[in-house]
Amino acid sequence: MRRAFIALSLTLAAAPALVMAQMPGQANPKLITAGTYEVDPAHTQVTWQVNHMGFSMLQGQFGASGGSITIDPAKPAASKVEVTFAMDKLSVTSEQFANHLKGKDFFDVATFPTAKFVSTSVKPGANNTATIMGNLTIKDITKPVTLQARLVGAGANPMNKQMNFGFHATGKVKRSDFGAGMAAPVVSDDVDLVINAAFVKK
Amino acid sequence: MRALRVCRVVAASFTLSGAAATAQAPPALPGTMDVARVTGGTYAVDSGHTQIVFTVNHLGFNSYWGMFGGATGTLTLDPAKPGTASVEITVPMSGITTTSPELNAHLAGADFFDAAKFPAASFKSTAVKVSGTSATITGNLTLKGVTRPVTFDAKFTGAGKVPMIETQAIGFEATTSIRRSDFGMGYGVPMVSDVVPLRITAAFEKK
Repeated sequence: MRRAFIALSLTLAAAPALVMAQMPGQANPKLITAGTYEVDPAHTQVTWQVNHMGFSMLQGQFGASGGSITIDPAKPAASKVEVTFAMDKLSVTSEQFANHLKGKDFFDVATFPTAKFVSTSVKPGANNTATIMGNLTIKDITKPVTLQARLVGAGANPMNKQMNFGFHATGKVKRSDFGAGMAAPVVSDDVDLVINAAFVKK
Repeated sequence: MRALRVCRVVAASFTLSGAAATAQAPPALPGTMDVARVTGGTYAVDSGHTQIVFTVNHLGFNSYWGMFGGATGTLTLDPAKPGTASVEITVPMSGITTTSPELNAHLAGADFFDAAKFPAASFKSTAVKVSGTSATITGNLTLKGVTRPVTFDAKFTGAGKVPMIETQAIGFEATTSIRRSDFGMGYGVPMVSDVVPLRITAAFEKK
């Protein structure tokens, strides 16, 4: 009965809304079942942005290599998340720039092949949001960082036959805090981060 | 050319660091958002610093971003007559990059961009309407051999002289949304979104 009502109201709504309702992931935190989920490395990524010389923005990405989240929607503040990144797999749009970033001037991936984020607290907010505080370790230097996260969707994934959910988060760091401050301030020290995170139930 | 660019940034940073050590005020960056600095003429796309970021929605669980780089092209503008500006950009499909090597390979193949058959995408403006430091840029986007009109919302992000090579540079940011199925790339729709927001961060240097 209720499903029929929902279907009818969605038909009356715009087509994109109808498509959204058929998607495996829905923006409803109650759909998340409590437990431990693995980071989905194929769909978890960080996009960073710096200001390049005051002319335009410049972006690059890191893909997650692993991690997990333990979550109980009844007690969201008790959630714990950790994500690791393989630094040598960084992605930028210039091969020469990629090599420079991997080298000793920046991330020195040969010496420091992984970076890691480990949460220390989660504060749920309104409208499926949360403030996630944690420690980010790059080049063996650990600094606190605060992320503003928002649930994108949760549900059963027909592809991997498991419960999945994902969130979108933003944050900001100073790259010089992690020993990667070369060319600052001509290229900004401030780095904006956008995180797309996806998790699959173990 | 690329090696020069890297060295130039390093040299500029040393110059500014030196200035910062002695000066009271924060050092001025080469580019500022001051339209009075914009000089007319023809600019070349700065390939190393022009990027297109695309976003898709993955099954409703999460967003996913990828990038294109290596663009070439030109921008012609006259600050006295901003509506007469024109821009054309060519983007090689070999420059697709995401955080998944498997996805990079899939995107390059026939299911998506078919880069072997369609090695480049291009945009050529047909009209520019300027309002302050923003502009609406209408033009034709050719992707996978299909040409359709698109409109970008653009904003000026900086202009000035590039240190060491004494060239005028200008930067913009432009956004639009396309339906990838309009360009013969509807694989996975609707589970992976058809609507794809695009954000271009474009840097140009005067020829």
